[in-house]
Amino acid sequence: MNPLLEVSGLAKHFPVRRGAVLARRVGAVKAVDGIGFTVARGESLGLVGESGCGKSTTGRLITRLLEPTAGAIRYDGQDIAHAGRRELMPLRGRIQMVFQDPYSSLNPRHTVGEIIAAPMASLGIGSRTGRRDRVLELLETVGLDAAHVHRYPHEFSGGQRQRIGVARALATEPELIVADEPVSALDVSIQAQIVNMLRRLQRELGIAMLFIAHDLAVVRQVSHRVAVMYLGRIVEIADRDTLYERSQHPYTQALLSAVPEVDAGIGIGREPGRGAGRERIRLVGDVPSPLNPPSGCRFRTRCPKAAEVCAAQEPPLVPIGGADGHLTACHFPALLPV
Amino acid sequence: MVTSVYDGYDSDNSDNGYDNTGSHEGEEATVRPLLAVEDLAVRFDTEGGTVQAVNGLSFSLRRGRTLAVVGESGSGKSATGLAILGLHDRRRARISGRVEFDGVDLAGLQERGLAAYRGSRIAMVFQDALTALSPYHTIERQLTDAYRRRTGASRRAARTRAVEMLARVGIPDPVRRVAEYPHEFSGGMRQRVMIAMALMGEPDLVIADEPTTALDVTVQAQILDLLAGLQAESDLALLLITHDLGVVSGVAHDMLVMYAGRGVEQGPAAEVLAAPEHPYTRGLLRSVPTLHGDPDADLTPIAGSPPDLLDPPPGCAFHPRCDQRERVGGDRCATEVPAFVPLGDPERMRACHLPSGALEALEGSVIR
Amino acid sequence: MFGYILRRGLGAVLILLVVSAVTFLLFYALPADPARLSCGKTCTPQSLAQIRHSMGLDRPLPVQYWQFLHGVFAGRHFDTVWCAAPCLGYSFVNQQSVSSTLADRFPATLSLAAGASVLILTVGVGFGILAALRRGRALDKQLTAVALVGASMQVYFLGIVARYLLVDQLDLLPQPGYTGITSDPGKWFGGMLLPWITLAVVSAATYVRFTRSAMIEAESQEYVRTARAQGLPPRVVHLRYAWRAALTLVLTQFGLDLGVFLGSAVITETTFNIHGIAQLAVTSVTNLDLPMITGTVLVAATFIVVCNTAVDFCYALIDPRVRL
Ligand SMILES: Nc1ncnc2c1ncn2[C@@H]1O[C@H](COP(=O)(O)OP(=O)(O)OP(=O)(O)O)[C@@H](O)[C@H]1O
Ligand SMILES: Nc1ncnc2c1ncn2[C@@H]1O[C@H](COP(=O)(O)OP(=O)(O)OP(=O)(O)O)[C@@H](O)[C@H]1O
Ligand code: SF4
Ligand code: SF4
Ligand SMILES: [Mg+2]
Ligand SMILES: [Mg+2]
Repeated sequence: MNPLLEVSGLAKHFPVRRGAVLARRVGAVKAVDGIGFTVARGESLGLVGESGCGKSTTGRLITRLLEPTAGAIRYDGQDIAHAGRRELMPLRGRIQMVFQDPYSSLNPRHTVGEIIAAPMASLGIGSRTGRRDRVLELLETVGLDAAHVHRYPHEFSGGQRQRIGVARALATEPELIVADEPVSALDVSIQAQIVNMLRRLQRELGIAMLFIAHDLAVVRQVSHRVAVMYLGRIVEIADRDTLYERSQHPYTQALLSAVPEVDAGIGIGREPGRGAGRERIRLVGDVPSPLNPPSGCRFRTRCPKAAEVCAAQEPPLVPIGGADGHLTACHFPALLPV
Repeated sequence: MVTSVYDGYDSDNSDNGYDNTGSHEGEEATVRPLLAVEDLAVRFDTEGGTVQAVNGLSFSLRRGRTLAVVGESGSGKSATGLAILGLHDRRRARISGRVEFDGVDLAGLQERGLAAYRGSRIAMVFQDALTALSPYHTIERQLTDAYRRRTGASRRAARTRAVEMLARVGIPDPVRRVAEYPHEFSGGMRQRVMIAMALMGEPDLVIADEPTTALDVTVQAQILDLLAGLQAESDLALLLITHDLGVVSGVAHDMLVMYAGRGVEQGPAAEVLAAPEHPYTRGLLRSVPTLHGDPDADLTPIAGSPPDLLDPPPGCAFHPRCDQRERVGGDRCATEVPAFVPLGDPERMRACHLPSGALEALEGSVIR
Repeated sequence: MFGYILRRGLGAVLILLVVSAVTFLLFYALPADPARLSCGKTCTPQSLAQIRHSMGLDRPLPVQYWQFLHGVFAGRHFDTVWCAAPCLGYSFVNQQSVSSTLADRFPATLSLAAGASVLILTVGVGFGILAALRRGRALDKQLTAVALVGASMQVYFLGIVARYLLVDQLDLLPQPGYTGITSDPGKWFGGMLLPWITLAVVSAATYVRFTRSAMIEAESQEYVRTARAQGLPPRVVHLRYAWRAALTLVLTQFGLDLGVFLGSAVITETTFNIHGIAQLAVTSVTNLDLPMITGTVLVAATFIVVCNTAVDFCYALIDPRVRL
């Protein structure tokens, strides 16, 4: 069966201009630079990476809030990479987005009911009363009190607002939800509530999801497969267990080993931020500027395994290891020694 | 290297007019904590009413130790950190209680008196180095301004010291970079600059308010290593404010858990994390997703959401969310504020009506 | 940097072209006929046609504009007279060269504007900072009150009253008026003093309030808190750290205000009897003197462009993140 979403060679370059009058182009931020992946119906794909690696841009390209510089986005067989307003209209209801900031993504002057009904109304779905019933049903789905339908966003806490955002996204019965860091702004105790809810909805409603986050532990909780991005590129993609347990790319390994974890038998003298049984990897430096990415492998400036070939040749994203669909872009892929 | 810098600073400092006689080493340091906060309260008068940001908080910190202050957003962590150095806007914040630092009550000092401690004996590292550093001044200027005022050092000597500190926090090519502006640094490098700034005065206490929250994990790991290294190397006391229990587990000796402006649990980090005695601490620990738990099982969140500090719940502030309150019996949780008291071991404190050990009986360890 | 100047220069040329074209268009949209005005009482159709021809009004509008541009960039003939580039033509009314009239009048306006700006900025920003430093204390309240009174004044009212009191009655200040700075600097200064002070009282008031609030806003910047946390005394924190952020805001406001100042120059020049560009503009409009109107408009536009460029340069000086 065809995947629901198929992305190939996708790129978005933001021109950098200087000067107000008669601005000239001095370069381009290669926010996303040739990425490809698929999302099957009902599947959840996690997208992780450090700040500025192009996760949000990818999400905005797929929902076509941005137009790609190059590449194809095939949704249900139809290429929407350069589709116009009119062609996108019927798709708007089928792909929805949930945003990071539960404070600014809801219009403060509209009631919760109006906010949730808005996408249905703008797409002309259902009658007025039909929409009202649906809103009440949705509030229940996301765990909010249906009696709150006439309240305004500021009367809710951050977690509740994020539930409202999810309800709004669900309103049009989408097949795909792009969730851009939906829990990053929330406290851990609330974050867990939302993560559980997203898992449940995804499972029960069979919605496909592109889950964008920088928190690897959260992504692990909601994704069937996970793609790791670095500087506008996907460096590794695999099913969840393979990626977390048998990753082959040095960046993925470093990322995993840097996650600070609460461990049993903690104590001072223990190395900070270690996962159980993992070798500790410390990267040096920060992510280079996407304005001027390193030649060859983009990770080479921080990679502990970098060799000459890494500067000369960009490693292609190719199948590796035993697992199905495990792709890695590295000249020297290897499991970590245990 | 470190000790020579220390000596130079001390002799420089002898005639600068500030009282800086507090001992760097000495017998009483082991007996008396460097910082003892007692019954601290911070109130903000806002249009909606009075916000009790910090409410009767007490804790202490010894030299050479790291105390992590943990809690959710709005629990009063930053308000506590700022209150120690008197950095709140006096027009808006009302502060009471004692902040005893090396025998002096800082809470009783005016701006002028506090200035003698700020930057020299107590330094701060803020969360977002991009906004916490002036975009208009060079790194050199920002690192040396206060230092020169305090020590009367020449421009060259101050620059040399700034370069030294930048090198110490791992900034490559510090001689060149000291002349640059913050926007020319990456996020991680800027946070290193903030730490270098804190080290300029060779402080006894560093208060770091979420120093790694704005950073990527790989960079966060670098900065935490750096802080832990510096702390061990120069025997300073570190008050680390964070909301990340993973960070606590990696670098803290002790931890204090805050909820709605109060301390709810305190003790050696390893003990608190392995066997929390407060339902809130336990709830926090259980709600954090980990890399080795069962990814197919649901997480265990804490029900409800944090209280509105304009109108906090009566009794135990956590009671509307607590899954243990039935075990206490009666209405105690909703009417009586539990006292923050030692649990046998004086190091181990808790504020809950449950009998001690009640949670441990529920399950062996909370860590999945 | 070089690129910036080049782009600015090109931008300025573009702006001036548009401005002059618009002036031409607007002029011809007017129902009045300048030739008829010059022709006088005993106007025969022949002499009218003659005048029209010499004014160049008998040719189609695009041709006239083209000739004007040609004059500006390459010079042009007026009958037998050769007017070298940049030629703005001759006045319809008194046949004076427009360029030389402008050169004659501009220094007066420039003196007025430059002196007043310096005074407004130093007084306004200075007192604003003072008020912010003493926030909530007596001095702050007094300064704020004075600023409020000043801001509610108008140049023509204050100017006339001040002139009557300070010059005519008490003889504290010399008569206002313009003398060339090169011919007699003392007299130049004396003559400008009253206009400057009047303008400063009226406009500096706004800057006192503006600077005060910009300073107070800057104080809530996190890096100001960092400076405090380092143990710097409040005065240093204000004057070294908070001030820089406030300055950027003040400068932005000043850049915007420049245009307004120029607009109000008409009133100022009339009030103090200074024969500057603004007065010239008014008389040439009443006289339907197209070449002179175009000339004054171009000077005003150039002035604004130059000032904005200067403001940009100041930005780059104040804020290292701004690169030209
Ligand atoms: N509209 C834009 N114009 C110019 N550059 C942009 C724009 N949007 C994003 N960028 C740049 O593109 C790069 C990728 O940005 P993006 O927001 O996709 O990153 P991200 O992975 O979502 O990061 P974060 O974790 O910080 O949200 C960044 O360097 C960013 O500065
Ligand atoms: N200047 C202020 N005026 C009014 N209320 C304030 C002010 N500063 C803090 N508060 C309130 O005090 C409470 C505690 O704030 P604080 O900044 O200490 O929280 P925190 O624990 O540091 O949270 P976070 O993790 O979000 O930084 C919050 O409810 C906050 O809204
Ligand atoms: S290709 Fe080279 S530099 Fe890139 S990740 Fe692999 S080993 Fe490292
Ligand atoms: S005092 Fe009661 S409500 Fe509060 S934490 Fe303990 S059991 Fe829960
Ligand atoms: Mg993003
Ligand atoms: Mg805080």
